[in-house]
Amino acid sequence: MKNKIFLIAFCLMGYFAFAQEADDIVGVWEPGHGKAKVKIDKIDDKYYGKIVWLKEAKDPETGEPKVDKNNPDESMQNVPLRGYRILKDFVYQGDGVWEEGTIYDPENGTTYSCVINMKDENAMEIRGYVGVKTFGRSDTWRRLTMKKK
Amino acid sequence: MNIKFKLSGCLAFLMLLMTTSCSVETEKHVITTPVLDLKAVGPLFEGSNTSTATWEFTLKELFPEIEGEIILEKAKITSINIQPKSGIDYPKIGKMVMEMKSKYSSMNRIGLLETNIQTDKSYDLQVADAQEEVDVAINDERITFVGDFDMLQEDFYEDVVFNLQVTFEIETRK
Repeated sequence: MKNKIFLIAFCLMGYFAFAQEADDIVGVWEPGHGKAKVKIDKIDDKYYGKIVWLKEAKDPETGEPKVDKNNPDESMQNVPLRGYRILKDFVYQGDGVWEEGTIYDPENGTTYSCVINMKDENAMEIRGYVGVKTFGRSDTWRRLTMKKK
Repeated sequence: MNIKFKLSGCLAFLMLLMTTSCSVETEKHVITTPVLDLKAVGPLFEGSNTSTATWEFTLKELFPEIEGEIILEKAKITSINIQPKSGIDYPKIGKMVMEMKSKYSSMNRIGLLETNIQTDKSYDLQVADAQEEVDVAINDERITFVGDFDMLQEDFYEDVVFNLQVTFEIETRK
């Protein structure tokens, strides 16, 4: 009986540790180019990131807030870029890796497959690719509010 | 010439046969969700804030007249309506973008509202032309709607809740 309780407690501890690790990605992050800030949240059981700040919030041509003018769906080209969900559907795989997600590049209106690797508590590597992970591009994002140790 | 004519006739017949044998007879249904609470938990701050609503159902509930297996052939969203609840304080709110997801479907954008929201009005969002995986989401029997709205004032310390209703046009196999 004692063994069973110990086993259940051990499994529960493992589960909570895994969930805690998965949530390490939650927070506000800055891509390498420094032109935006992206807030990553959990919705249901997956992770999503949206733009919460833009260095150039207004379109220099129109003087209006920037919108998703390169979206292949014309009916959605007026969606504002501030608040735009560019990271979608990430699932935690363990060992500081989130996969099965996508990243959207508003500069060309293209969505790429994406994998995220946590390098340390305040830095992560984001790799966008088409088809095979080998042929992709990586960027290092830094956490904006440093996590307290 | 005669052989050519016969050959093209045979080819046309074959193509017609293939088309008719591959097409499936379907039945159209218009399904509207109950009024859902699209809720953003406060405190909220200036800029983009996220509100969510979950709709849980069973295919049997949606299509009680269908006996046996329910097979969805096509599904699309035809309208999305939001309305602030009466008697509740709201902050100043600008544009809203609506997305939806389910267990086996990605988060997909389904609608956009381009005007500022007034508390005494009801709004129909512009529905996205390109809709993906709506049938997958219906098959999952649990859909989460995600509304990102732009808050125009500095901060707001209460929850913000809208009434949300979404209408689907669904084709099932006969």
